Amino acid sequence: MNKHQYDYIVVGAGIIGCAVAYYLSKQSSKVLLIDKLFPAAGASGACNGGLSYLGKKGELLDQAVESLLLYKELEKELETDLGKDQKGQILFFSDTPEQGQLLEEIVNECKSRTLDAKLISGTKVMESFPYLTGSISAGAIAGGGLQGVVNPFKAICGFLKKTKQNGGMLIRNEEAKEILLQGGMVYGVRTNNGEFRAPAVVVCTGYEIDRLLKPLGLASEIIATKGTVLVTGKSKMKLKANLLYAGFLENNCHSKVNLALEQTLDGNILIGSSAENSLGKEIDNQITSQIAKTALKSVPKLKNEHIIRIFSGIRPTRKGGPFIGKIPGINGLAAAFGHGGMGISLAPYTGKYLAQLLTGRG
Amino acid sequence: MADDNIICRCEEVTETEILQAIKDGAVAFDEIKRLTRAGMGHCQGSTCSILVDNLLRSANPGITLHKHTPRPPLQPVKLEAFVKSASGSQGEANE
Repeated sequence: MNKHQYDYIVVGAGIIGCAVAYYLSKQSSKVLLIDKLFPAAGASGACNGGLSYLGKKGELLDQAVESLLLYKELEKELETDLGKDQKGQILFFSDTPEQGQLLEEIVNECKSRTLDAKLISGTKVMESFPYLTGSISAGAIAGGGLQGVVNPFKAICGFLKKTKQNGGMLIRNEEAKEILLQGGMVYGVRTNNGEFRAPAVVVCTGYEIDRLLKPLGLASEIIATKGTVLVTGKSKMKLKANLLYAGFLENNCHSKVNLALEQTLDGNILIGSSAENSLGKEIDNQITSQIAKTALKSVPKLKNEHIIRIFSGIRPTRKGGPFIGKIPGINGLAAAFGHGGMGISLAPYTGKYLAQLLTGRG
Repeated sequence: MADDNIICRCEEVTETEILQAIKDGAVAFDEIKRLTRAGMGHCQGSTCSILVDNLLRSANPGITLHKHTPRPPLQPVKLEAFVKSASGSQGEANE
């Protein structure tokens, strides 16, 4: 038998590709995962690892909740410490009446699903996040149990460890150049080094997905949205919740800076974030200073914190929300893309759903 | 391990941990950084990135190493300094 013949090829070893490979490997021992660099080299390795559902609506909210429930089992299932803390609270704060309206909408979405979320007054916001200053009009808070943080690298390691134990394989420095088709059916992937064959291919290459889909006449509708985050050293401050400014809920979120604060289990505070129309990985000094200014305006106590690193990553945003499924018209081709800032939260759901769809089992 | 070498002083990552990451297939400093936290501390890999690259080279003779992704700032800087540094430049005008 040809050693390059597999049941499934997954392209892209970010958190989505790794989750897809893991859930496929539970049903098949011939899963190949390839990445043009190495696992978590892209957006999954340049994010805040936030697990959240508050702020999402409709189908996306349902998917997020299902996915966060899966995270609760994954630590055991993967036999890996995921650096996970699902006891955190997500707190949105607003300073305009219009934003108050948006907060009400997201809370109602949660309440209709019996999720523990509530609207709170400005005073209550300050109690939940004592470092906050300014005129806060209202807040929305959703409790722990599901939301919080996960270490994306550890989650990826866990998925990979189990995928390998199940017989799957990861190849680094293997860049997919072309999806191979014959008579409307997939038969493999051509890479920089050669060819790999499988009757089913799943493309999970984030914002770069068009490079593989466009030649097939497909449009992903991905908008690459760069985000920048400032990281402090291990801080003495103890944040009681992940803080988000309600500006994130407004639709015109391009080229804007909104405050997002989150503390890792190690104590570092991640200060974000931006939505930039750029594909460059370099740090934009203007954006950095806007983020610093925004953070200090709401949380002045941060001023003495030392920034040890500034990183940026590129969110694969899609207007209609993520696409997770088979590509119509091409037999054997599936994809998962457009998760925007929700890739970490949605990874387990994406992997499990796609594996079920492709294997008909699980 | 008592006689293990510390490779990353900031995050106290040992040679054994780095070698394990390489054994697990890691091919780049940026990947080892994600796996072990080596290079994620106060000095951001100023010291250990060279040591890690050397370990990668000795484990994989002839390997072409990926370039590191250097991230600012070069040394820790107070948050308020970022606001001041933009004063009078476009940062103010953009508000």
